[in-house]
Amino acid sequence: MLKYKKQKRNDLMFVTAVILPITLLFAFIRFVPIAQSLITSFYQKNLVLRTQVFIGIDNYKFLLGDQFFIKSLSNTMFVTLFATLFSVSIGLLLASVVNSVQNQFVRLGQAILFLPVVISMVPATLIWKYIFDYNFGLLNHISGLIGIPKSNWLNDPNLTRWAVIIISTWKEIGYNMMIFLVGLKAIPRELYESASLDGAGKWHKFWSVTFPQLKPITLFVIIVETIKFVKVFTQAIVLTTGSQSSGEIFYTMVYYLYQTGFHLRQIGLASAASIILLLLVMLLTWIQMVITKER
Amino acid sequence: MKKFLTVILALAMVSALFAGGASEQKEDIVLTFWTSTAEAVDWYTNVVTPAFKVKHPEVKDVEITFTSIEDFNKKLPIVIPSGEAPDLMEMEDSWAPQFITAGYISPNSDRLNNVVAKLKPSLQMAIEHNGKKYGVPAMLIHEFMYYNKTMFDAAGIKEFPNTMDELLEVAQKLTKRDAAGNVDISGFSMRLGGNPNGTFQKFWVLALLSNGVEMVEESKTTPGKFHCGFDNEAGYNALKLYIDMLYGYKVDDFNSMKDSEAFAAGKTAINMRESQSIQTILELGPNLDWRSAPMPIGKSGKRATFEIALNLYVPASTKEVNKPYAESFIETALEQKVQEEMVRKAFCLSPLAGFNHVGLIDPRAEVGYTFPDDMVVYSVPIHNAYDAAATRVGNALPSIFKDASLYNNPEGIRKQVSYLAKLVNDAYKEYGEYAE
Repeated sequence: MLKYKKQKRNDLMFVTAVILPITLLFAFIRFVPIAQSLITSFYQKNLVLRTQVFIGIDNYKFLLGDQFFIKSLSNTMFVTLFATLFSVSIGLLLASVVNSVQNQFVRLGQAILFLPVVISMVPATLIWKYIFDYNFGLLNHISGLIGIPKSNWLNDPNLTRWAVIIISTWKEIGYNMMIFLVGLKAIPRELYESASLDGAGKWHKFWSVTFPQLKPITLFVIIVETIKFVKVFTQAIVLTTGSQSSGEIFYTMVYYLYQTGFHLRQIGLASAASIILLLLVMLLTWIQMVITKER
Repeated sequence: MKKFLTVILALAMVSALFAGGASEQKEDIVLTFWTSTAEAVDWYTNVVTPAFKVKHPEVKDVEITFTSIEDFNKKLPIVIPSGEAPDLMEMEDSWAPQFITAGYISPNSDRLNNVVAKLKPSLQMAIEHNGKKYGVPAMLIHEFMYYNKTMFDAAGIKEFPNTMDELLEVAQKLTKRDAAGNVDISGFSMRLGGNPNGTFQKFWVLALLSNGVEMVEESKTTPGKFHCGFDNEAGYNALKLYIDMLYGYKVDDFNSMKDSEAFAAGKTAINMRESQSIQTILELGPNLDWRSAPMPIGKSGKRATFEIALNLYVPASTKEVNKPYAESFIETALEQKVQEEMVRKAFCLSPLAGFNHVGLIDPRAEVGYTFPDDMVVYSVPIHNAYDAAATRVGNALPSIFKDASLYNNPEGIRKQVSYLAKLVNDAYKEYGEYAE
């Protein structure tokens, strides 16, 4: 017994010694910048001039009253909610279709659906920008053919947010489809056979067998996508800046951070915004985990 | 023993992450140069660099990196303080103050000041901070009007309007709409959004300067400190001009094609832009019949334009061995023949005193390159807070322009002017450059 305990202690020491250096490195890379941002958020600090004055929570107070920050927060939450909803549900739907039909065309379809995932966001958004263009865009051309008036996707903020959602969703459905496909293939066939014997139809099987079995994967996908969409930046900026833009830039939290920190050089204020963003992501993740917790 | 070796291996692998090579061999001289002026890249690459290399065959290469102006402005505050600045960089005069104040750009050496001595007197003063000179202007850009002569002739308009009021009437006459009532060809292409600094810059020259006011004015009680210069009747007229153009004269709207691309495509009758826009017009609209004109006379009774200097700086972090080469590159860029090529290729003005641009530029642009006697030429104030203030105003302007309720609404316009003034004053307060 004593020998066993000694062996176990030795094993533990060995494992600790091996993983400790990389864990420390990971913690240094991950947590030190967050801690530094937290500290900086209590200062009025200029990125270039390096002036630094302790101002307590004044940065946070400013943000809560700043119309551009509120707009960024509102836009980000709107895009995150709907882009997550659409990308997850469409991804699941596509995975179900692919899983139920097994032929080479479906495999080709899978590859095509996955293509947006591997395309860089900037060129992809530029192409979409041309599609959404008011004067020359494909969407307005098609809608014009069927008698629908042109829509100002890029200059009307109420429409621009949907343009951002469409691009974000399009970019992610392939990835979500593949993740759900893995989960679907892991569900034991016996469960479906059992449900069939009980007289369950397709929808009943989906809600009673498939969906519960996919819960852990669904939670994973929702959390991953939420984190991705909360960081929405590229598609919003590429769509709404440039010489042909005549609307407001589509403000998102990350754009606000970017402009505040690197253009306005107020690194203290940008740090405060980044801490709020971090807390927001943690809150959303916690809510999702609570909602999907097994009872 | 096996476990011991495994631990050692793991530690060695982690240590390898921090390993760096050190070379003892003699380094080749490579000069790194950054620019954000797309039109000048060809000139730097194919004119300045060859001329420089003739003088310095020992220089292996001049690595020229172009970054778009919006990204360049955000890149510099990260790379310069971190010591990753290039040996030489070109940037707008208004960007430099913070880097100068923080000590990232050193005062000019005697060699560079000898180059500065050949430049226009106004520029020699513009680059002075606390009695010392920083940087060397290599190109100048200014704003003027381009107009579509074909459209003017078709409408029977023989000359470009002389005053802002005449401009509005002409632009209104030349505006064409589609069946849905949207602007198809704008009478005047307005900058209504996009990059905030660009949005502000156009508002500054078309609206503020034509009404005789600037974004800031110096405090009478505390010289060297500033406050908003347009929180007054002239500022009201400036914002009213934009609102009237959109909702009164309706010379443009938010959906039409904009800017130089629109002008080259024949989708706008009049475009206000910097001189480099000529390159876009020649590329995209080679058959376009266009002319240039100076800025019209505003309510101030004078014409107004800005002149922005694109300056060359040798950062303080430049290696001592590279500094003489960086300074020589600057000398080369300011030689007479090299400047003549700059005007031909980059379409900018030369900062050299007494430089004659006639014959070097497209004849159609010559009118735009001349400054009439009643033209007031403004420079961007060299303040630490200026860029931040301009960005904030530029952020706010698009939503103000979109507010149709401001048309025929003096109280509403005054309220917005006060709001914009607060943004300017707040920015100057943050940098300690504010006083009533």
